[in-house]
Amino acid sequence: MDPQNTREFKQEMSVPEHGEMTLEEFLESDLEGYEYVKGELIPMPAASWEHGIVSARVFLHLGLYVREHQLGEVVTPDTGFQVGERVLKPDIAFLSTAHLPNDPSKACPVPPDLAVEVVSPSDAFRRVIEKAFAYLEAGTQIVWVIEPGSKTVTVYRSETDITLLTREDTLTGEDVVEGFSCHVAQLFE
Amino acid sequence: MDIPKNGYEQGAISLAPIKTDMTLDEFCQSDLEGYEYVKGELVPMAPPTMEHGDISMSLSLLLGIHIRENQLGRLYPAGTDFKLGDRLVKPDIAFVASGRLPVDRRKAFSIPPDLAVEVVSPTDLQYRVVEKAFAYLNAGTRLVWIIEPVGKTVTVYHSQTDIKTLTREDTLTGEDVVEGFSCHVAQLFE
Repeated sequence: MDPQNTREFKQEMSVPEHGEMTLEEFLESDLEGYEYVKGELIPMPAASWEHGIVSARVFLHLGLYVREHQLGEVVTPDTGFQVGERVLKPDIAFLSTAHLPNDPSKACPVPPDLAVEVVSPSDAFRRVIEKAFAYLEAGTQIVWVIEPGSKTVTVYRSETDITLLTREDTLTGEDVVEGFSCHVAQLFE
Repeated sequence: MDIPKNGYEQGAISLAPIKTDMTLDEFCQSDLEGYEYVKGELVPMAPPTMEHGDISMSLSLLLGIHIRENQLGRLYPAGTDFKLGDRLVKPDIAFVASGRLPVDRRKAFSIPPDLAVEVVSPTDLQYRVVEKAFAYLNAGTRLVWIIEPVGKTVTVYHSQTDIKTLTREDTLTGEDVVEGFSCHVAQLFE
């Protein structure tokens, strides 16, 4: 076996292990590079160049807008959010002023208002949807799943309210990041 | 390097593609099973689960009856080979309209299906599924349905910039490809 795509290979090799840890123990631990999903540690492989660029674009557009309009905070990857029984690290997340945590030294105890996930080559389709639904269930209002290969953004508002945008469409902040909009194509240029 | 003969067995271990010197034609002549061929790579197929089978069967029954009653063409089950440019793919369900059926149907189809349906397996990588949907469209397939069991969604591809996601509250229709066909998305997941 000589897997050509080491990222895929890595993903296959790192099937989530059953940890003994509780959610609280995970939050107190010094583990890095994992998400925590109901007792399992999910490794997060190094992101690709494309992933980095797309994430950076979203961060710039969204971050500038949110700052200018003082709507809350936009945070970068690796920021932990408690999302129901999970600790997730969205690629980009927006938290409105009203929801900002009191203790900034810990993972955020509430889910983000907007979570953005950029799909990596190693992401299983199923896990991406599961994660989007987990955010919604925990109270996140909108989830954007950005797929660089097809240049699309899937907007999840609920399990039965899902819209897919292509590079000809405009992405908006709806009533979550009010007034924000950008062309989907801009994220991939 | 030895290539495991059965791609489904390999797919249970890893879906990572295996590089090969084989051409598409050589692959078609070979006795390898359970692989798709994508530009010089063999892509192992995820072994089908019961959930996968349930959904494929539900849709095949609904589609099959409609297509037969209205004599629209033929429906093909998983495992049927289609050549799409430099790929050989095995859609979970494929529809070919009457007028486009080749005379010799003992070989892999050298034409794309009019409708291709893929049911997402637990281990399928998202970017590969999307890439495959685009490959169908590029080859001339008019409609692609990607069915995702966990989200209970069907993503309908007409073109690279005309894509819609249907949820379990929506109705799936055959549009102008499988004319007159419609079913509730929820029916596929019952």
